[in-house]
Amino acid sequence: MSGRLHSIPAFAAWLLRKFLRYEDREIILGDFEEEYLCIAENSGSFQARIWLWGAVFKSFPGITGNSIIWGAIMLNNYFKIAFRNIKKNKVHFFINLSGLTIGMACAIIILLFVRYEHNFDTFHKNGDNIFLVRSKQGYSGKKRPNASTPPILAPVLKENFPDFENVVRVRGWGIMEGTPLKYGDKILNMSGFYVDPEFFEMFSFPRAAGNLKTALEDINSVVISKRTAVTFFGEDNPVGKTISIRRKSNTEDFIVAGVVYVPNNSSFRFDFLIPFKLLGEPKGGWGSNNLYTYIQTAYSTDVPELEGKLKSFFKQNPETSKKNYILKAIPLKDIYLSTEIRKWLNMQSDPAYSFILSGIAAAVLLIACVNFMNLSIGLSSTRTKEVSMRKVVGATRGSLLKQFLGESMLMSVFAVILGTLLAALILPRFNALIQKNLILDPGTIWLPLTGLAVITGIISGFYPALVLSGFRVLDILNGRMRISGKNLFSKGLVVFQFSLSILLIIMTLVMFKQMNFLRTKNLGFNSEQVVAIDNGSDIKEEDSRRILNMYRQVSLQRNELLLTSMGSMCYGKDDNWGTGFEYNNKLISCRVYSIDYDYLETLGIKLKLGRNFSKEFPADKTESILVNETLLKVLDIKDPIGKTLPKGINSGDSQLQGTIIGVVEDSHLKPLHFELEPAIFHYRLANGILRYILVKISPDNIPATLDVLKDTWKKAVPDRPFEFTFLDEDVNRIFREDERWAEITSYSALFAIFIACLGAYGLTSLAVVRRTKEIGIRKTLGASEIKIAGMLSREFTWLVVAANIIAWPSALYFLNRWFQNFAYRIDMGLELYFLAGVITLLITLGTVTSLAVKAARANPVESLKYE
Amino acid sequence: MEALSKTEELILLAVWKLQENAYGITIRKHLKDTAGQDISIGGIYVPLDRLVRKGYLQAVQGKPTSERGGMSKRFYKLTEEGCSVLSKSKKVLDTMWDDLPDIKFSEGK
Repeated sequence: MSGRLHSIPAFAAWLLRKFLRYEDREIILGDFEEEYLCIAENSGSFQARIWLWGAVFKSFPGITGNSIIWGAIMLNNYFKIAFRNIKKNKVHFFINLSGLTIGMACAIIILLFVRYEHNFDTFHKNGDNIFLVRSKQGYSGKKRPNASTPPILAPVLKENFPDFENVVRVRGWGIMEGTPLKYGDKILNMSGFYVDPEFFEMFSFPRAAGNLKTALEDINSVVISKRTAVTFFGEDNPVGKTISIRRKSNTEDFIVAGVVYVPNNSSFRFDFLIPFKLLGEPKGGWGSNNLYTYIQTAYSTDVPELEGKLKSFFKQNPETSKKNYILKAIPLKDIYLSTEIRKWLNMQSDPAYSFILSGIAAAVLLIACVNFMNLSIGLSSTRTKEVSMRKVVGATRGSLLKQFLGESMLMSVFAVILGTLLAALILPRFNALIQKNLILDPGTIWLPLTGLAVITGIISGFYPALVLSGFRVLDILNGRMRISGKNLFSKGLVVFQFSLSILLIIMTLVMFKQMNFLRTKNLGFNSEQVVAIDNGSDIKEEDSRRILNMYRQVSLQRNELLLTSMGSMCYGKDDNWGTGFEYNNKLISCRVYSIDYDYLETLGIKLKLGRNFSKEFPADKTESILVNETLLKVLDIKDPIGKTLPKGINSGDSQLQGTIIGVVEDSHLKPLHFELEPAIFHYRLANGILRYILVKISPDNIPATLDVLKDTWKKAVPDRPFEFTFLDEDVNRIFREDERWAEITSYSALFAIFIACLGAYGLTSLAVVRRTKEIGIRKTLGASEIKIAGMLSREFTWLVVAANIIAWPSALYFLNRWFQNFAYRIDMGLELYFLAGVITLLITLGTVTSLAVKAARANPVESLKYE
Repeated sequence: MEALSKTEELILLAVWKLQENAYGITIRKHLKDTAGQDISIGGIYVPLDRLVRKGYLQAVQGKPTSERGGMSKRFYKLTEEGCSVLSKSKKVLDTMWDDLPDIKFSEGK
């Protein structure tokens, strides 16, 4: 007998143990051991092992067949019991399911949103190695800086950093918006950029036509987007065709060299791209920051490493070290959500949106889960017998846990499915609210959905499962067990639910009040029936004059055109003409606006003092200025008419020197997010400055009037597209953007309070059942029905009050953050907080009282009959 | 009483034959040697458990032995019903075999 100990390999033993039932385990393993040893002794352990695996394999059907069948039988029983429970407590099941469904729907929608936000610019193959750089200095101010760099940066980088695979410049100056493109008889305003030819090597915009490698080498070539191609050329291949682009006041011909797709998740959007070479040699020094510079490294690196390399280079370079020039880098995929830079040539969004919306979704879902927990624990008293019987016939705590967790998982899966359907219903409305186009596609989303179902099932089911499976058998069967549902944990959960709801209600109320305030605030001008026409940013003076004169002539003939005028700015457009000068030893900064004689009247802006520009005073054209009330206050002049302002820092080619001839009433020519700034108005027609024509039209037959405007335009400037908006629509649009947030908050508040009330209803019904005897006794002792109903409701009243205490400070915090967006705010005032608390209380009491009253009416004989 | 399947009958007979030594491995070996039926280690317990449930066999747990790595064997014994069902089956077969006429098998074709 050899002294070696043969035994079947551990892995095989483990495998067998896993699949064998408890009773069979030892026996069958023993059989394996015996025969293994026998064969090992006779033919060696190698043969034995081969035999072993064969034997295990052959035995498998027999072994597992049994346990699968037993498992299936057990599962069947679990399902039966689960459905029976549902039927017994239909109302509670419905409460749970609807709460969870709403929570899931919210979570799903916001999941789509967050995925959308974080999926920008991911289609570029070299994406990980591309960085946008920006000059650190050259900017001061509270707002975030542009990611701008000087033109001379790129050649310097290319020369000194051979391990940068590509350095590409992107410039939007003059052509970034409102650039007329013409082909055949179609003229439309498009948006384009100057780019270096390596642009298509660095970025992976999918090619639709043409050879992208050579596309922008020729100075007269242009690459257009697929959408632009379809607009101008339909289905034809545009490559080789000639389109004319108007830039720098000249119309030039360009040959289409390529067409690319601009994917929906690209933050950089354009209609056409033309070669950077057109701008000539890079001008300006290290302070002329006016374009984007992108770097593509040939190796993978991170921001600190890259910035360090750049920093040491610039320190050594004699030119830049003098100015202490620093370059910061932003990875490509961070641009869309970056908080470092502000929106300029790229689209940008605020990561705060994702945070806030996720927070709201999590809150709503959490409230629903809490409901589930509370209700399950409350219902546990009805299942005590079942649990104890299971234990008696041998269920372990583990299998009980699995059973109850399984039930909550089942509920969770139902909720996810229904929630997806609900989300699909709500999605169009949500898309309208956030102005994006999210798509619910089960194919891409099933994985997060499953995760959501699992997590929700575990969160909401775990604690109740623990409670349910922990019962002591004898206590129950002897009737000694009392489930207190009054524990602190349950109460805490309810308070939490209500505080979230109250928080959301407060925020909704305040936000709506603020929106209302902004809407009704007097803007200082009348935007109704005013058509704003954009002349284009590079219009020549003579063209402007011609257009205006033609309109004036037409308005003499036609009654619909009440007033026509021109100005350099228009509500909602971002024309930043501003300047600063010294007066009485104070540095004053203000806006500069150019207007013509009728501008103020067209907009209904009143003069407070003095007079408007007038043809009677030819000196008005160069010598006179108007100021607004705010500037007056800032300058602190007593008698402004006739005073002159000193020559100051030049702003472009506008002059400041002028005599004040009048004071204009303050008007908000910028959206109410901004404070009203001091402003100077002067009359000066110069290139591009009088960009907007404002026409006040009569309210009758607007389409006909628009046609007149359009025809007149075409006669005046046939090679420019006619683009107009209604001023009151512009004003409205800006309001809508903020109001949307208020709407989203209001919906969330609605959901939250709905679910919280469902919870209150459920808990109260449980309390009623639990206290049936108590109620019966009180009634026989003479308590009135009102008193009893009050007693039942009292519990919740205190909880709601407690919830208020938590909700109010949180609301204050969040609202303050939100208010920072606005220069003009309402006084928040405590009334709204009280209102929110009262609303919640009333709603809660409403749901609870109906049950309480029913309970109070119950016949005490019935409840006290059985002991 | 329901009819026994062939394998079940063979197993019952094997248990009878093996007497005190009737457990998984020996039963399998006996079946293999006499009837050529090759049943896997785990597979043998399916009919064995069934026969126990039907009441024809009785299972008895043995003591742990060192040659099985410390695990015990489960021995099977024939019960009275098992014995009687076997006899019945044999009687039926005997009646079938009794007085069988001669068969001539034709050659060719």
